[in-house]
Amino acid sequence: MHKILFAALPLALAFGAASAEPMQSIEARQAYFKALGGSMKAMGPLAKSFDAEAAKAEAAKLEAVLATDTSTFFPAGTSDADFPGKTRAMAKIWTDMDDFAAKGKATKEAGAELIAAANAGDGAAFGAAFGKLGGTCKACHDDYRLPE
Amino acid sequence: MTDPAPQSPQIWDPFVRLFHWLLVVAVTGGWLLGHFGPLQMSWHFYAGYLVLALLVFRLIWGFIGPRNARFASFLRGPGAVLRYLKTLPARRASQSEGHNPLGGWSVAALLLVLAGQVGTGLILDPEDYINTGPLAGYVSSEWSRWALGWHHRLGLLLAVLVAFHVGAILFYRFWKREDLVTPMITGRRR
Repeated sequence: MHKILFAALPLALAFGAASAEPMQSIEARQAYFKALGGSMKAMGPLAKSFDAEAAKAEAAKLEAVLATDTSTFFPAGTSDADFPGKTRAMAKIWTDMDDFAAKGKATKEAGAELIAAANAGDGAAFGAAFGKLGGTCKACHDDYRLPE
Repeated sequence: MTDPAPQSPQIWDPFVRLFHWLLVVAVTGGWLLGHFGPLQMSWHFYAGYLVLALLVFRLIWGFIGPRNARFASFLRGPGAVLRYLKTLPARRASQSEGHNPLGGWSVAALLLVLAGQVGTGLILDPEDYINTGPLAGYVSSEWSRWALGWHHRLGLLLAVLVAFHVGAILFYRFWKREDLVTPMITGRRR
């Protein structure tokens, strides 16, 4: 299932980037976060009991996800107010765009730490970076995503 | 010491009192941690587990505990509640033996909301991969999402119920001149 997700990702992203259609931006970012979540889900068990080889393999996938150009993901007019039921992105994102962007940056930075720890085969650093990356998910969800 | 003062009857048994104060700690701690705590929510989880254990105890105690602890004695019909409501504005102590008919239902409401809070907490999934409910893997993602929304809403409702609870204690203290806190500490009226 992951394979399909990762294969479909560039397609969805290219689609989103090629067009300014709001629904396509929404779908593109959802594909991105889904891939990111899938990567996190696969790494969760490794954060608990480290396996250097598996971590390295997952890190490579995460690196591919995080390399995505996310700059086109949140155009104005794509909040839950514009597309209720289609997205849970709160309108607050666009009024607090600086903070939102900083939180997105924090995710990418924590992700880079996680990848570095995996490649270094450092289990303790991997666990810590995983917690940090999860924290950046939560920080953004708390402020900018509708609970349901 | 002169003659021992004639003791008033015990209103709250030791287990009810211990339950109450541990619940205060667990709920206050859990609520604050949920809103302002670290991103890694382990201590929020522990608070939730303590609430769960306390609820299980209280449910059992509600059937086998002393009279004032039993649901059958303090969950009264609408007639009793209405009669009690009419006496509420009077500036005199209610001198209720245990929960009054209104307070009994407020306890039930608090316990039910807490049960909902624990239940949704166990199965919710905030999709941060570090604070996933321990039983989220056993339900569909739709349920986990639904639980996340309700965990949030019930948290707000809980704050309202606690505010009513504390407000009622202040109302009895200053309007009805009745001390409800001492019996919850010592078991007896002063």
